[in-house]
Amino acid sequence: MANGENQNPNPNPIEATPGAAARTITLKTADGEIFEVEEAVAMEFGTVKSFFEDDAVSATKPMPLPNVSGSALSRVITYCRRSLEIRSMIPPATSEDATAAEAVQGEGDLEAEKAAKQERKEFEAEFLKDESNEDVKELILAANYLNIKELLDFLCRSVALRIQNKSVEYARKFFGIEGDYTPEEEAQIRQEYAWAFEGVDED
Amino acid sequence: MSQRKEARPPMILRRRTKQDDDFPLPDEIVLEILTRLPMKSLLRFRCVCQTWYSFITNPNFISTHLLCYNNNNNNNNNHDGHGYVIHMPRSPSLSQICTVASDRTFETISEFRIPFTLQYGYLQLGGSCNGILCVADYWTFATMDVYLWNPNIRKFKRLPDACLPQLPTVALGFGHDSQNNDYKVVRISWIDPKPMSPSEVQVYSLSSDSWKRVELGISWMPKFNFTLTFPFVSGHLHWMITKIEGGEGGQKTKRRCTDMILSLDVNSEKFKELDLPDEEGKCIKEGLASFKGKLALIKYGIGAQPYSTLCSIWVMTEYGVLDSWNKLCVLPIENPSNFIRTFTNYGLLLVQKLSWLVSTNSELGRNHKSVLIDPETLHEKEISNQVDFRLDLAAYMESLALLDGANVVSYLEDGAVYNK
Repeated sequence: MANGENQNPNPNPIEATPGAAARTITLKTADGEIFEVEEAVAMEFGTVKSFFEDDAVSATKPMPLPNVSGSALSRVITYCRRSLEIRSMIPPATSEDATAAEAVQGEGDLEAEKAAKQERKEFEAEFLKDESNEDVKELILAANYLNIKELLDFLCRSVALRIQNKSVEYARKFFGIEGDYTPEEEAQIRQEYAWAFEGVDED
Repeated sequence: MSQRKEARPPMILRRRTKQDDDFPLPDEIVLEILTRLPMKSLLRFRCVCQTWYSFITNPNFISTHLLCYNNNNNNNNNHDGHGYVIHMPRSPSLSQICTVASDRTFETISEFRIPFTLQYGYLQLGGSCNGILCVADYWTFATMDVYLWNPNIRKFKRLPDACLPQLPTVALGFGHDSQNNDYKVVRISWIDPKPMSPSEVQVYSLSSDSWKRVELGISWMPKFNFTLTFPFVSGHLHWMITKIEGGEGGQKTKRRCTDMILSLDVNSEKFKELDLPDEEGKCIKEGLASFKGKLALIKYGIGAQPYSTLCSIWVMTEYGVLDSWNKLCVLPIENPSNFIRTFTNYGLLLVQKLSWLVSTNSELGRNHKSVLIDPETLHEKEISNQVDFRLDLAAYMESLALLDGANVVSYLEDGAVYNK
């Protein structure tokens, strides 16, 4: 996605949603990049939503995001846009609980939900495919700061998937943690569940 | 997608200092990630550091992890929208293997070998709660060893003997006291099934590692429950009894017997009586079950046509409110040997249809079918995987419960036991 990556102070990255008059919100990242984002997408960010709920704030001035870099915001915007698109595939008045929804909906709605689920699965699989661990962590911090629950859930799930079959050393490196057990203590903890250390990926 | 940062030097393990490209993740996020990890990873990551050890062994974390990890909307398991059932062999000569299967397709997902030696010869599944199985090893009702077992983390615990262990056990129930994060086992025992025969209720609590007798204050007899389980609903364990009143005063006073449900609050260990729904018609047999977290009663009764059987399913929609018994559906049973097993996590009824066919060359063959019936729509779906009707079934989930505790035994794959 090339949106917002240039330093042009007035980019117009809006993908035309047919017929919709897109109101945009301007965001300014820590490294000085300006993003104009459709209101619907920007309102996915809890932090932005509460900022603009305060009437005294003008919607035309760029909102500063001192804890988020341009590249991270760009990825976040991409995610939220796609997520909104996928959600719009499901007809309204649908509960988020898949099992309750299945009992209530008709056949057509069920199909739409299945298709949406599949889209989401594929999209999520692609989204982080080439991201390094450092980039994923940066995205987590951005999603946390911007208070985007869905993205944060997805990122935490993805990290769990990345590390679940890795060694203790790998986990320490990933989270930047120094082990603080003595070798004897660690040996004892390992021994108690020795079988859990088998079949682990090579570092 | 352009990378905005320069190539980083190789990571060196050192105490983190404040740098521009330093990304320590806050504790809340670390916990969010940990709740999405499978058991094996968590057991391993206990030695990452002392903070992680205390995170992972914290009972609140274990409960949260249980909910989050088994919630199919937000975990990395590929099994969309279903829970698990565990099959337990009743006789060790039949098998020593328990299988965990999907509760929609009954496809086998994993297998566990029973890690403790069975002294007596028969296994009874007392219940399954938060990933812990309560299993009894018994022989002709005389004596019984009870175990709590978490197959996922390979830990089990043999319960101390109950008081008066020589009284034959009728039934065993198992539940979780969420207020104290404690697990309780309930044992009903009796001398013999004669009216007015003394029956005993004892409750075991994992935190105190001991049994306690509980007085009910009423005269009663256990009633046969064909589902053989004590459903655990709303923090209560349930079983059916016949309450006996009067009859002491000689010939003038009549004895009154009322069938009802006894419910035990696992937290307070106090009993309540619940009425069964009012229904005309002769009841052949009935059983209690748990339907989507609510108490359900499955009743076999005689249908309008001769030799026909009807099965009606009642659900107590509001717990404890007797008026809220609602007849969910009536299932015609074509064949009396159809065998209603249990409700799955999503409220589907597993029924096994046992039929005998005479084939073309006059040989008698068995044709067992398993179907899942949705009681709300009566839609029936045949399961292609075989569900062995000789195995006990229970809903099942994966958890870290029973991680620590007195006399909890760890074992290895080959059965060798690790003692701390």
